[in-house]
This record gives sequence, C-alpha cells and structure tokens, in this order.
Amino acid sequence: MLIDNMLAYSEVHKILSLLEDEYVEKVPEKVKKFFEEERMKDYEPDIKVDIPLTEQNLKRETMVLLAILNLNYWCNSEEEKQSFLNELAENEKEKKELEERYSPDNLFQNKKYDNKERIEKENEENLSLVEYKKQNIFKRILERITGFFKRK
Amino acid sequence: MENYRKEMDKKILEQLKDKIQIYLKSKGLKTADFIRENMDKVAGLYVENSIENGKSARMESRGEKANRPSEIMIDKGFAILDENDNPIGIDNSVKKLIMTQLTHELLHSGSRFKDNENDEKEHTGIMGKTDQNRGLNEGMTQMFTEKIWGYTVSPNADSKYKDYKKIAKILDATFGENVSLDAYFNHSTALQETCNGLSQDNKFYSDINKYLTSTYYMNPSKALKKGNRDTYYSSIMKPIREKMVNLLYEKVCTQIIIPKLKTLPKEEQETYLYDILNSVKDEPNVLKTLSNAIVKYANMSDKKLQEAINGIDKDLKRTEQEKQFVLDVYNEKNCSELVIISDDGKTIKSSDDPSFVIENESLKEKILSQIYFQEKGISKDDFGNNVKNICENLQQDNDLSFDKKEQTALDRKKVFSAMKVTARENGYMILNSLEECESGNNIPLNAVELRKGENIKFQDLKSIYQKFQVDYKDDWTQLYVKDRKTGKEITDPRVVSMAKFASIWSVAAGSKWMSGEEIPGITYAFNESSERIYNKLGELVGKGIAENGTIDTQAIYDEISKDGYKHSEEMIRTLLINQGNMSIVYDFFKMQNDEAKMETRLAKSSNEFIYGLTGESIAKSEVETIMQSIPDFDSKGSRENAQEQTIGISQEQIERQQKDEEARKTTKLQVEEFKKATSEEGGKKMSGQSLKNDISRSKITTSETQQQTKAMDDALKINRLRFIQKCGVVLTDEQKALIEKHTRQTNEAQVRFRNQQDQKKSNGLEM
Repeated sequence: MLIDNMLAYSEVHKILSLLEDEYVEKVPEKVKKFFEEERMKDYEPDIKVDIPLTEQNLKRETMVLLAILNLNYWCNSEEEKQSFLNELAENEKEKKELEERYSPDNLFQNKKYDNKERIEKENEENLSLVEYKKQNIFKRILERITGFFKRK
Repeated sequence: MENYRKEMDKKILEQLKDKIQIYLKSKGLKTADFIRENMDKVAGLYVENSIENGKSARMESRGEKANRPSEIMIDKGFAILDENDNPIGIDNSVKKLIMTQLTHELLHSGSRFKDNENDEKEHTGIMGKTDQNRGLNEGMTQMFTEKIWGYTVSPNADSKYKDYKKIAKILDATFGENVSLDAYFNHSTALQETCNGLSQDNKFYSDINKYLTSTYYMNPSKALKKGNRDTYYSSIMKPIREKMVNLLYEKVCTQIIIPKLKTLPKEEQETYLYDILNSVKDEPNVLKTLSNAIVKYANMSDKKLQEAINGIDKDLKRTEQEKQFVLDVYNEKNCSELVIISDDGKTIKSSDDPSFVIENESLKEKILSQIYFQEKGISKDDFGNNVKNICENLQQDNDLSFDKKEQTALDRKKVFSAMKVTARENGYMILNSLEECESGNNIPLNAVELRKGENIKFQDLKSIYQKFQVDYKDDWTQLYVKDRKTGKEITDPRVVSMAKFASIWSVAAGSKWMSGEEIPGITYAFNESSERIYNKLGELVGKGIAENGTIDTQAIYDEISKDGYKHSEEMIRTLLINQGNMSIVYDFFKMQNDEAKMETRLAKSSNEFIYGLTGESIAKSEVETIMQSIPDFDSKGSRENAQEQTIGISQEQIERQQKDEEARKTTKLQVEEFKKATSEEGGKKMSGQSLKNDISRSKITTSETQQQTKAMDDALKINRLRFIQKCGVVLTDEQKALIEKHTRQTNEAQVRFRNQQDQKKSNGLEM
C-alpha cells in the first residue's frame, strides 16, 4: 500500500542520514532525493544506531528497500552480488515451501488429517503430556486447526 | 603566402560609439566622455581570415602596440567582398548580430586605459594587471552589449561567453548596475569588495575569476599547439568544462544569491529572484539548475551551507586538476607515466596524488591509443589509412578479429582504442565500446560516417537511436547520452547531438507503439512518412540557417502541418515545443550545414507561439515555486524595527540586555556542543556491515524486491511526467490522469497517517 511505502521511505531516508559516509556516498543523489521527496513528511522515525534494525519495529518494506540498495550499490564485487542474489532466491524458496506446506487448501486435502489420526493424536496427548509440550510449533498449529474442524 | 588582412571603412563604428556613449550617459556614468575618447583611438577596422590563422570565426579588439595603433578585427565570414576580395560592407543577413558584437569589441576598446601614468600597460574592464579576470571580463562586456541593444544574443551564437555573461548578470542583479559600471569602466574595486563582503570570503572574487578564466583557456585554440589538436579533444574537455561551470553556478548561489536573499524583506525577495532567473532564461537547463539550487541551499542551516561551500571549493580544485591532466595528455607527456592502468584495462587512474579514476570513455580511448603508438613506434598516418579502408569497405556481418599478438584484454583495448581514435580523425565513428574487446572474440564492427557539413541519413539516425539513449542526470535538469547496453556515458559531441535529436524525434514521431518493438515507438518514428517529414524539416531548417542563421519555427510549423500525413502537426509541434528541444534541433542541423550563419536571437518554440509560454513566464512560474519552497528568513524590515525599539532605552539597560544576550548565546553554544558530543549525528554512525547483517536476518525474498522496485519505478515515472510537464511539454490525458491519481493517493495517505497519529496521541501513544 502507498502509505506503507511512504513510511518506509521515511525510515530509509533516516537510516541513510545515520549510515557511515562510505555507504551513503555509493547511493546516487537521484535515489537519495527520491526517498526524501516521496517519504511521509509528518513521520520522523526514531532509529537507534546501536540497536539492530530487526529489533526496532521498522516496516517490512524498509528492509526490502535496504536489500535493494545493498544489491545495487553496496555489494563490493560481482561475487558478493551473486551471493546476495542466491540468498534472496533461497529465501524465496523457503517462503514458498512454507506457504505450500501450510496453505489452507493443502490442509483440507491432506489425508494425514482424517478422523482416525486425529483421534489417535488426542489419545497421545492424554497419555504423554511431556511429549506433547515438546511438539513442534507448526504441528501444534495444525492440530488447532484440525481440532477446530473436528468441533464442527 | 601572406595571411589575408584588409582594411574596411570604419565609419560603421561611429553609430555604435554614439549608441554606447548615450547609454553610459543615461546611466549617469561621469566618465562617459572619457570612454568615448578611448573608443575614438581605434584607428582601423580590419578583416582577416581567422580560420586560416587556425582559429574559429571571430572579432577582436586589439590594444595599441609599439608597431601599430589600436584596432578592431572581424572575420572574413562577416564581410561582403568585391570581385577583388576587398571588404565593402558587412553581411546584411546577420547585420544585427555583427553590429551587436562590434559593440562588444568597442566596449573593450573604450574600457582600455592605464590606471596610472607609471603603469606599464593598459588594461581593459575588470582585468587588472593579470589575465586572471578574463572570463568574467568577457561576461561583463557581453552583458553591457546586450543592455545597450536590449536583447539577449542566442546562446547558440554566444557559446563561448554565455555562462560568463549569466554570472555577470547575476552579480549585476545582486549589487546593482552602478557597481558593475564602476568596476568595468572606472577600473574600481567595487565589484570585488561587494562580492567578498556579501560572501564573507576574501577569496570569493579571485576564486570565481580564476575558475571562469580556466574555462576560457580550455578552448583548443588557446590550450593546445595546432599539431596536437584533434576531434576527440572537445568530447573530453566539454564535460570537464560543464562540470566546472555548474560548480561555479553553485558557488554563486551559495555565496551570493542565498546571502542576498537573507538580507531582503519578503516582497523584495520575489523581485530579486525574478531578476536572477530572468538572467538565465535563455537556457532552460541553467534556469532549472539554478532554481533547484536556490531551494536546496535556502533550506540549509548555516552550518550545512558552509559545508556545502567547502564541498564545492573542493570539487572545483579537483576539476581543475582533471583539466590539467587532459592538457598533459595532449601535450604529449609520456602517457605511461601519467596513468596507472589495471591489468584488464578496465580501470585507469591518474598517477598523481590525490589520484582520480578516469570515467570519460573518450579520454580512456585517447590515453590507450597514445600508449599504443608510443609503445609500437608505428606511423599514425599509415595506421589511420588502414582503419579508414576498413570503415569505407564495411559491409554487414563484418567482424573484427584480433591478431594473436594481442594476447591480453589490455593489449586488445590499446589497439582498438588506436583504431577508434584514428577512425574519428578520418571521419568515421566506431560505435563499439572497449568492453567488447575483453573476451577476445570477434567484434561485429559498427561504424557510422560523420562527414562534416553533410546531411545525416535517416537510417543512420535510426542506428544511433537503436544504439544510444538519452536520460536525465541525478538532478533531473541535464540530459546525457548513454550506450543502451553498457550504460556508459557518451561524450562525442556529434554523436551526442545525433542521439539527442533521435530521442526527441522518436518522442515526436513515435505516435503509436506496436507490440514486439525493440524500442517502443521506433516503428512509427522511423517509417516512410516520418522520413518524408524529416527530409522536409531538414530542407526548411537548412535554408533558414544558411540564409540568416535563424530557424523560423512559425513558418516551419505552418508548412509541415499542411503535409498529408495525419500526425504531421503533432510531430512538428512536439519536436519544437520548448527551448530545450529548439537547442537540440539547432545543434543537429547546424552540424550538417557548413554554411550555417550564427543565430542572432533564439528562435521561438511552439510553446511560445501557440501557447504564449515565453521565457519570462517560465521564470515567473519558477519564482512562485521557489517562494513556496524557501523558509521565512529574518527580513531587513523586522531588523530595522528591532533597532528602532532600542532607541529611548537607557544606556545601562542596553548594556544589561547585551550581557544577558551574551550569556544566553554562551549557554546555547554549550548545550549544542553537549548534544553534538552525545548525539548520533555528531558522534557514532551506523555501521554498514551491521546493516548488511540486519538485511540478511530479515530474510528478504526475490519477489519482495521485485514488487518494491516496481513501486519505485512507478513513482519515478510520475516524477518524470511532472518534470516534463513543468518544462512545457503537453501531456496526454492518460498521463495527466496518472499524475492526478498519484497526487490524490499521496494526499489521502498523508491525511490518514496524520489522523492515526492524532488518534494515538489521544490514546497516549505516538509513533
């Protein structure tokens, strides 16, 4: 959405003002000016130099924009650029796998979750409380969902 | 054989001397009669053949020497000659321009005198004892010339001095005509003192003069020996000159215009800004650059402004160093000692300290070719003849293969550079770039014939368009040409002129886009009907500039609109739409017409004669934009009021107030220093490496980057449309709707955000 992009431009603009000169100089004036002009003017982000950006509640779009800047201007060699591209592709693959695995469509069609197996799982839960607690979070989510359908 | 030199009847100068004297008296210059006496010392008007003497067509004012009195010289091209080659008058088709420029020379003569009897020689205008002020002196001379004649000479005719005169006009608008008159005609220090005083920099005036004059001496006839000049020089030196001139505009903006604005009350700021922008309205890119600079610097704090000034001075020094480097290359110093080249030939740096990387492709080619000839010791002429043969016999699918001796990429680049440079000397432009040598594979050679004064074929124009594209530089004010594949900037003036024309041609003539086109619009832009319009345009423009140096845009528009092709009116209206386009059209056709006369004043664009959008109206509109974008400075009026209020207060009270004020200032300074020491801005910076780590941790995906890139591209597209709309281009309804939609969405987003913030504040939260 446009509002999210404008907020992200404000955050990137602020980050560039706090970043080491060596990195800022690599970003063309045209690009810096773009962030300055397109940002949300009423939004002055409070960004700390000493705290990782991932812990500062920034917009997702901000990190994406920084990734774009990294790819275009901050990679020091072709090898580094290619490595970063591979990383993005790998992230894409992982995201697709997760989406595929936990897509509601797949859950409906997944034969593992027929009634018999649900009942067996519940029995397992009743008999082994300790093991239940150690279950993988995704499995717990799944069970919540299937439990929901069962209640219906 | 003696060089041509014949005397002409100088009575033509009398009416010009009267005109100058009347002007000076009307301005209240007490020494007007003295200036007239100096002009009367011009003993003769002579006609010479400047081109024969290795220079371009020109006029000169020459001071008295031991062996001859003071005189004025004009080039043979400006005179009408009888059957015996004797000058009998001036070319009436450009009479106004010749008379204007004779006035310029008479002003030099009039302002030439000794300051004291003991002085060794006379000096003219603001020049003083050294040559340092030559650039600005020419600018002031041309400024006074245009004031006397009441019009601005076309920058197409005035290319050498157009920037000097703009800076002279800016200083004149800032300090007033009396200061300019006093400095120029009385040899006073008025201009120097006012410049240094306002800028609070004792070196400002001398620095401005030093660098302006440095650009004056970049001209090949002044910088190089005749045998060292070549066609590459202008493509190498032109970008350096432009960089230096742009920096000088920035310097004047930061140290003269902004400080002046801060002294003026609001109602006077607008008038002052209009005078400034009116001084530069004949070149829209200069007007826009200056306008943007004023907004940028006016919004800076004093500290940031000073940092910007220091940065500009640093860049000026660096540019001067680059200029000197080029002159060293051309003066045939050992190129191998001047540079450090990487093994693959990709990076070439100067060997001095501080070193700089050479970006200009033409300069790289020149250096590599120079090294090649120095290393091989072969004859350039023989090599050049071979290259010319290759280019003349070039057919389709003609590949260039390298000799086995050229083992490395650097070796191949050296020989290929030598080919490119010598091809250029023989009238051919090899379009292939040096990068194509790296692999060692055969290169499909692509060359275009560049015969000076010959018409450029429509198909060659299409080839240029396919190979090169035009884009805006970072600040959206200047166009540059780049290779579509490699992105490298092209600086060869002929190719730049062709590429820019091809670009505006495709915008004008590419009325429809077809699916599957290699470049959108290219089919329509270069079809048969478009070729017919192009040829007709070439005929009409060529006739005009050969007859009297002008492009009669109204007549051309009327004639071409009558053509049977349904898009002809739209094409010609769009092609000639504004001064930026007019300049490109003029350059393109002048290049093809050896007989072209100089343009007296700028031709009107279609925006002017159809929509009434003149340079003045554009300047006015820019001033309105600037006034909305700059802060409210402390006005002179309010400071005067504050002073009045102190009258009547006792001395003791005044002293107490002053002490309190000093104490407040000291405390404020201490607090600021503390903040600086503890703040992020003044202290620690965010590490680039930690930023990269954060990016990795965020697990960004390819599709996210693609989506975000698309969003930025869309926003940039809107900005570009807004910009060209501001330049006077008429947008389509679809384009206008895009801008309106974006503006609406942006405003809505801002309002929504503000409401969210207000809601959070009232809930006790804030972003």
